[in-house]
Amino acid sequence: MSSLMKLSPGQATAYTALESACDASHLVLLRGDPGCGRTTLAEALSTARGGVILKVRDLYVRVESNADALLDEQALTMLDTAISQHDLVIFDDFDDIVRTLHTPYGNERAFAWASGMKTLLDRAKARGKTFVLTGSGFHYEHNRDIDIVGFLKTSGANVTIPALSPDDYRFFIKTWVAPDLAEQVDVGRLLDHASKLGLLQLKALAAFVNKHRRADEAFVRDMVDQRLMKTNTNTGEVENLSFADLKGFEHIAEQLKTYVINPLADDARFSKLGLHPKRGVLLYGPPGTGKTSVGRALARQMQGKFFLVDGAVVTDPSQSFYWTIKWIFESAKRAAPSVVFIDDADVLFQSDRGTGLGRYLLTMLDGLESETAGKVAVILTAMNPNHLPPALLRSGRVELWLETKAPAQGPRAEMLAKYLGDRHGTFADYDPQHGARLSEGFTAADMRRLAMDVKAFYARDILADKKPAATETYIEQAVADIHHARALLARANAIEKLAI
Amino acid sequence: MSARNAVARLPLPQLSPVQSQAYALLRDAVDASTCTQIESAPGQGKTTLLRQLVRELGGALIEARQFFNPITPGTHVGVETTVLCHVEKAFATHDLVAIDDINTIAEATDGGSRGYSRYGSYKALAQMLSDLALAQGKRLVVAGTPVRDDIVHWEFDNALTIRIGQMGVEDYEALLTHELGAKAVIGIDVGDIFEHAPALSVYQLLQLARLARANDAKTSAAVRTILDTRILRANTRTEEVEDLSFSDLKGFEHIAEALTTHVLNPLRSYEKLRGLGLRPKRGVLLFGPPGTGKTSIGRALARQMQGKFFLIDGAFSPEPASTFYRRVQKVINDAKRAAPSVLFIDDADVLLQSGYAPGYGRMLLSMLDGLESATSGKIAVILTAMNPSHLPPALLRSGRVELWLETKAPADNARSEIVAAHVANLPKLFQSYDPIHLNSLTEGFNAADMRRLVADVKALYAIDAIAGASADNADVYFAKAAANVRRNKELLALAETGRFKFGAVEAASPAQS
Repeated sequence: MSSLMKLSPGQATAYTALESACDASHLVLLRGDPGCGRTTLAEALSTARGGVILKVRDLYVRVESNADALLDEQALTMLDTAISQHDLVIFDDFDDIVRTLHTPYGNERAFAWASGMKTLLDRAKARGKTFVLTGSGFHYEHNRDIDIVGFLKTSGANVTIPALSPDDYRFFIKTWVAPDLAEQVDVGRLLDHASKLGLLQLKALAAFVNKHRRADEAFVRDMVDQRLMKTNTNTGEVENLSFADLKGFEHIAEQLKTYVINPLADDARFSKLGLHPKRGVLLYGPPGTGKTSVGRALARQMQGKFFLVDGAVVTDPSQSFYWTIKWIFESAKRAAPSVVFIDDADVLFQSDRGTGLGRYLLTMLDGLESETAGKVAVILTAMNPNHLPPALLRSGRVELWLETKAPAQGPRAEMLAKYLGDRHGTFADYDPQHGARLSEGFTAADMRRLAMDVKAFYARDILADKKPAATETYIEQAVADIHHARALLARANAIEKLAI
Repeated sequence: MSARNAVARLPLPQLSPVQSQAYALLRDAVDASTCTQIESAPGQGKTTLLRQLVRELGGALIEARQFFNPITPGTHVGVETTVLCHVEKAFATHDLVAIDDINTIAEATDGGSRGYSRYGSYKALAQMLSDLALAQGKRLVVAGTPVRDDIVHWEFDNALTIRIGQMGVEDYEALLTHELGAKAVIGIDVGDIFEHAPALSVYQLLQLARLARANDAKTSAAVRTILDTRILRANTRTEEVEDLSFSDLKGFEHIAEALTTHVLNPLRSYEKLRGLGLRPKRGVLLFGPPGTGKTSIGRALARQMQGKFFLIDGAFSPEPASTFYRRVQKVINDAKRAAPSVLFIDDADVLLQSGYAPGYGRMLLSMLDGLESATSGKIAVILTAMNPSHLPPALLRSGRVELWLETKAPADNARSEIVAAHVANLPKLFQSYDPIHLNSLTEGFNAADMRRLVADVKALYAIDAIAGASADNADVYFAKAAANVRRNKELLALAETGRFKFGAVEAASPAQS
């Protein structure tokens, strides 16, 4: 605790701002991301100026002993008592209380609470006293008539503790890492790789360095990627693909390497260049042409710095869905340089009544801009760019358009050979070029399906104790089946169009 | 082999390879950070790791039963205050406190039940707990289910995260060996068990081992039977499902063959097919007019697949939306657990069209071939629809429905075969009918109509039999029943197209009674 009491350069600046805000206003909101030192500053302020620090815990102590007590009423009573006894009242992590007040039902309590708060603020103003409320962001989705957060923000002065600066990084490395190791940490390279670490993350990193007695760049990077970063993607569930495995995608792999992977990979040779990834990349192309596979290869390569937004985030219609998206974007920002991969964006953005998912995603994308200085690359996939919201396209976020196409005959033959290969070399008696010729117009997914069908036909005959047919016979049958499925799909689509 | 050596190297016998890997990371994290969280699916060993940690470092473990069990009864009004008091008390005497199943606290406070008076207070609790640990220089470790699978967010800001990986064949081997002894495992091909059900939880594996011991199962086949009938838990009760096999479904030979080739064979781990890398089709669409047998095919599949058949149908009321998703998610998670398995979504066009289920189609899209598909790729999703055009266009256009199977009204010979199958075990009289005449009587009837026809024939016969005046052959009953079914169909057709008028059908074709 005592080591935290020493302020870093960034914290010291924020502290000066906090002091002058307290002189000027009777309400100060002290904001900053989790683990940036809000509590440290609150304690410093109270040491310098007296007053009292209230914690969420103190409120709960009151509520615990009184079964009828309501949290919001108790919060007001507590603030009232404190302000009558002290000139300065600091409520730490006040946004946790505000969050509880943001109950999804009724406005009545929120109105009552807001007017109670207003009375308290007026009283503080009249007596020349000050409230300081701390919290991580004080930003919530407000879906009600009264916006408590907006009310607080506009009623007082706002002081924001900035994210850790390079000087802060140096300060804390020096404070926490053993002296002989601290010298070895290349802070510049660490910043290139992870510029948004929080205070406690940096502290954990220092502990890893001290414990393993290693401070070389590779070790530091591994610790950051594998221990500190928290992605929402379960890499174990992602098929193990590398860009080299993606046949026929050479041009896309090349572009992604040039404009996304290299700039994010922070190679020491380029650290002076100020290389930034493209802010937005759109992978578009017909279904089955490999958009998701590109995502898989990226996820495998980026590890802890890959964040996924897909259909699974919309399983819950209530507000927790907003939290999920928000959490993903916040984590991606903290892990910057990082990638947010929005799969099937054209489908996700199609805003349906009630959820407003599309709109919300747009807001989140806008929020990426300034804070991370372009260190988060957003990759969107879409079957049809026409279905993307015009606002997204107009924003100029999409800087790189990459089209995925059905593969040419050469890559089709390679795919067929790759997918049909197995441990025992079961399928050897065929000419991949013949299969490739038959499958004119097939996508990568179709080729994979073709190979799987061949295996299924083979299995069917083996299980029926029949002599398996020639592989090419199976290939021809599978090609015919895929054509049939396509025809049916076209029919269903045509009916759909007529119905509109 | 190598897996057995791995057992010898384990720090404690009950930790499997993936678990000891996670444990090493956990130890490291606890040294480095005030708060650490463990994420894993139920039954991957969260509790085991926490117990081991507490035993090694001398901490206190707080478990779910304490969440709702106040230290001083009657004093605490909320779950979060109860938990807080337990943790405070534990910190008084311990340097490390571990909380298991922390997601259930978040569920209780921030979950679907909005009746909770302090809805949304979980975050405050998390803050209080980490403040407490930080202020006293102590350590807090919490464990819960993966955030991505969960409805509520329970994670701690600034905690280091440890994930327990998916068990591999070595883990199966280690756990089975630990439970059964090396000798007993020799006769069992663990690779075969793994291929049959690669996503079992630790609980399920241990239950399997115990049941295998109790039933003296010493071969792979015997163990697999236990797995299918006792461990894997489908959400359909097979005994409630009509006993149908594919061969009972007359006129569906092409569909039965396609499903066998592309779904059933790949889902069964045949010795002969080892190493072929065969996978079931991910998306199968059964489409056709009502009554052409889509649901019957589902019934036959349920009977064949036993514990590996999962059903989502009209019984999943979309109201209220929050529990709808939760229940759908649960079925999907169970299907993943039992993978390779079948997820049968009956009347998908109706379900996906209902305005209550926005996002459900998108979820399916991700599930069918999303980025994270190692497990869900082993689930065959079978959708039924009257009209494929009513399915979400994105789902169809994505090409993720790979197999299109159309059910049709049965052809002439199939109709008489259906009748023959239905009357096979009935009194002789029922077999005495003219099949050719029957075919012309039932022109255009679907499978459901044929089923109703036979039921009506029985009822008509019963009336005569009670009166002691039954006819000498069944033709007259079939004729009467066919006319009734046809009249019914005509009325239905009129009502469907909004042309229904009283007496309309009687005028056109007077009903025989």
